[in-house]
Amino acid sequence: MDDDFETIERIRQGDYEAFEKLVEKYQGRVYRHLRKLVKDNHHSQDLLQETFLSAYKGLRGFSGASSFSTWLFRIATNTALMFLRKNRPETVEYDDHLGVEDVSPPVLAPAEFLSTPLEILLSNEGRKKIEQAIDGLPVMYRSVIVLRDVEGFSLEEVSRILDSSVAAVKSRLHRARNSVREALTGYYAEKGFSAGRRASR
Amino acid sequence: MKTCEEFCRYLSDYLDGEVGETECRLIEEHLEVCPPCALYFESLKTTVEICGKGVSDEIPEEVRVALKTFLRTHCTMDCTQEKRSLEMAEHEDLQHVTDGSFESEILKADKPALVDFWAAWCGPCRTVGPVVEELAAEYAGKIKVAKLNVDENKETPSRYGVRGIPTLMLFKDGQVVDQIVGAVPKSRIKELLDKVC
Repeated sequence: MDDDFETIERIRQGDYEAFEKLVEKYQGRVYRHLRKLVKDNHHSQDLLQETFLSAYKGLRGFSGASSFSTWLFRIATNTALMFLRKNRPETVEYDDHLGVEDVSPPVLAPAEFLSTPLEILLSNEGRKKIEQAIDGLPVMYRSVIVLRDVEGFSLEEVSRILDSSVAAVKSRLHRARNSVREALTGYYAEKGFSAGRRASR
Repeated sequence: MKTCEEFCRYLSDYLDGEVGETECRLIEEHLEVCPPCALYFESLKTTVEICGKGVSDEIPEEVRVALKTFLRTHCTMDCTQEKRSLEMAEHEDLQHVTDGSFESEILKADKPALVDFWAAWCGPCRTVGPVVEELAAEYAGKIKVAKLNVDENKETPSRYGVRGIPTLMLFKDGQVVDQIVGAVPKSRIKELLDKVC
């Protein structure tokens, strides 16, 4: 992360190649994030362009108080949320009900999910199911789980990106994870994988 | 004594290392003796693990190429505009203020001051930005014109109740005289400025 500051300094001095280097570094993650937020590849492409253009224009005002990636994802998130508000207002309800209780009763034993080998969970079909489970969440839950569990930002960083309190992030994350867990558990229970429990677990 | 459901409420935080030492110990003791909760925890942990690995960050080649072309076109154009606005700012009165400099630069200014509250991700702010730069030149000597980035400076927008951007706020003698919210025509902003000229 630290070398971003050096790159940014070069961009500020007019080195456009340095900016392209930064774009190259982050474009995949930002595209994934936008794709998960707006759930549309075509719009994600436009928003990706808008995000990096905004970042370029705003670099002069970037103080370095947070990491560059936190700042960039904040721009990407706001760009996506503004797009959703404008185009699909029905999908942007900050307090959207998740349709899941805070936590499912632990008596629901997810044996099939746990007995499914990791290579199947992460196969093409498995990945599709993970994406579908995340896509099924309302945007404010989706954004939290994507930033924390997919992108790997800390809770503090997620709260900065979303302009929420850490407590609110934790609460949404807990419910989002549980909802995704339920969706996947249901799917694998239906498939009924019978292989033994994964050796690693 | 906590119930299983109460323990389960802590497990997401536990995974993130966000529970205290005592609670951590209690959770671990409970997971050892309660198979349903242990299974629940394993499934939550697996969910987090596969979410981290299961969503690809691959970017299609055509998206990558389109981004590169788009940025080369727009950023080069922007460089020219940026240079012009920087020159304008140097010669006229456009300043970038922060939470730290707000009092000395705006509240204690020796003339009325217009502050443009903006953010890099805000499309309407980009519409208003060049207009504000032009006004900085036109009203030089009569009104101080400044920009404040709300992402980098949270205290001032909060203190003045800025709820949407762009917000153009006019100050005189340390007090708010009037404000405009949203991207409006230049003539509307001039009307505002003429009130204090």
